[in-house]
Amino acid sequence: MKFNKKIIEPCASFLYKVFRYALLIGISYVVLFPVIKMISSSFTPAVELYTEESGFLPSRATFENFKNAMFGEKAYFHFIKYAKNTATIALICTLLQVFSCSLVGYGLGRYKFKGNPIVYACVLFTIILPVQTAIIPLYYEYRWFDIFGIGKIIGLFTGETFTINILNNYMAFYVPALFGVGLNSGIYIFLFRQFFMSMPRDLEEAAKIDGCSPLSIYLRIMIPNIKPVVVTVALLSVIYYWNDALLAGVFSLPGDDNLTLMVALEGMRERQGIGVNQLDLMRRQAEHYAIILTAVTPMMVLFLIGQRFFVECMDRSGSKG
Amino acid sequence: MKRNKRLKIITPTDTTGWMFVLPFIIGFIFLFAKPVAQSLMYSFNDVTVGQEGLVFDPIGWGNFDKMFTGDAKFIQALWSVVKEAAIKILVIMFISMFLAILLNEKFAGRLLFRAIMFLPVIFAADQVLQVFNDLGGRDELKDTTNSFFMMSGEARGFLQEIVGSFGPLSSIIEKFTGYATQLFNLLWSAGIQIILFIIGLQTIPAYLYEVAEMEGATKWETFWKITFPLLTPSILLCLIYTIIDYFNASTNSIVSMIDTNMLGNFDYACAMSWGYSVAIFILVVIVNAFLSRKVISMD
Repeated sequence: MKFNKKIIEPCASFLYKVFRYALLIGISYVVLFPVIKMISSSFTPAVELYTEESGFLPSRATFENFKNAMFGEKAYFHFIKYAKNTATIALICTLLQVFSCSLVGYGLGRYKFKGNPIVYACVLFTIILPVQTAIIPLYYEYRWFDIFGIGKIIGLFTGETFTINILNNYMAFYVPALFGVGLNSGIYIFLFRQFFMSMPRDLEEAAKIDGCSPLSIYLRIMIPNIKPVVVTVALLSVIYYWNDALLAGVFSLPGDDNLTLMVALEGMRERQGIGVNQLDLMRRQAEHYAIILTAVTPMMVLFLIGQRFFVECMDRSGSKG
Repeated sequence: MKRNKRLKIITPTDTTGWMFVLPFIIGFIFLFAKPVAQSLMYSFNDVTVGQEGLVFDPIGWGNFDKMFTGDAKFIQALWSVVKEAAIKILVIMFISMFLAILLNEKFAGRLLFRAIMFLPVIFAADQVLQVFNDLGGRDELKDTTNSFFMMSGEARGFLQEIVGSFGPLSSIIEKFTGYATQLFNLLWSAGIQIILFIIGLQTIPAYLYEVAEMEGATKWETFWKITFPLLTPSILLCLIYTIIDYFNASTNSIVSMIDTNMLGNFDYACAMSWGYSVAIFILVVIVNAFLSRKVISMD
């Protein structure tokens, strides 16, 4: 028996290692295939795109797809303008969201007040219900925004409810983000709660003895201690706002100047097949790939930078006290 | 004794706790509960856009009636979504758990593989996914997968000669390469679940594995006695996430139907969306009720 074990075990473990790499490489290949294909397609001259011998690598790399679509003189996709709008929304919303979600997550994770389970259930409910359900009433809410009922109270004195239109700037994105009901806020609150719950008590106790207020415990002790989670949430938040077309499509202003990237892309895709010949269609397709590649590049860079925190966040999530 | 000390958590005053969650409560009441309730009201009315805002004409259950009896398209779309739900959700769960366990082990290059598995999270935009589906879902992937597994041309003939006697094998290989395109779609909706599973795996204390090893347990036993039971909270969480994600995906035919009806016919869209959400909610509650009794917690 002993003899058998000595031979079988190293063999089995070696075979397992080979199997593991083979499997992971195979799966990575399936995941990466369209990404690689998109990158290569966007550098391929349009005429070559659908020919028989078109493989992974173009015969000659070209930037003309990028130039024609976005950066040349006749560019029809004003990338920089759209990217600026998208980045403005994404960055400000992310800041607000990290702030509000960590605050709420902290309250839910560290304080066992009476309504805690109910508030937590509400958070879960916001995750479950699809955004589409509320989007039309929300539009009216933002169009005649009475600042959480304050406008109505003013109305009692002046006779007319005081409302403002917050759709004419990007406020319709910022306000919900600040109040913990922005895009995916529920998930982030949930994540923060989970991590705050797993932190040791001693930290807080010591600070309390030293006379720290709850808010400064949260700001000075808790937040620095969960930096990886903050970075992870910030990263996810930027990515989801960057990729969002539904909310941006409804709440952003009309007009080419105010479009976000994904909304502009949607519009372009709808117009794509109309009234063009075969060659033009191929050209458009190649340019479409180029545009998509440019649109996702900032997020890929961000992901590569933030990846370290991401991994650390996962590896630390287990350290309970 | 030590256990007691750990359980005795969270005592400060209620008000501080309420202060921390106050932003969410304001947001929830005014920017979530209120519009959601309004949309429920819309669905029981015939809503038209008049000169002074919206005009409501109560029609009771009319919209819901139309949905289930009058609208063949809705029932068709609903069926197409439900038909594939069980198997897709289970496969996504299995793949993500399996990959998470692999990626949680220590080996050279695991960071790279983790990064690749998270890529789908970055490309979660519809516009990007559509293009990827065009690219990845085409026959091309199938062909290249064939050649990747050396199943093309001569190699295949050679292999078939060898395994010819085991007839079923070649058809299994056929089927497998056919699933490659399916696999693509499934992998692309497993990104977040893999993250959740890895987080779950990390919460299992290492000393349990050390004890198991000392006691001479095999890997198989360790998995079923330690990893799997302690992973049950993550399994429940992921299952619920996957259900919600699957039914709310914008590629889903019901969701796109709701989207198209939102313009112009939105009382009906609200009704659809409500009927649909309530169904998902009930499903989640049932799943939760059934499985939460089976969840094993560390405490």
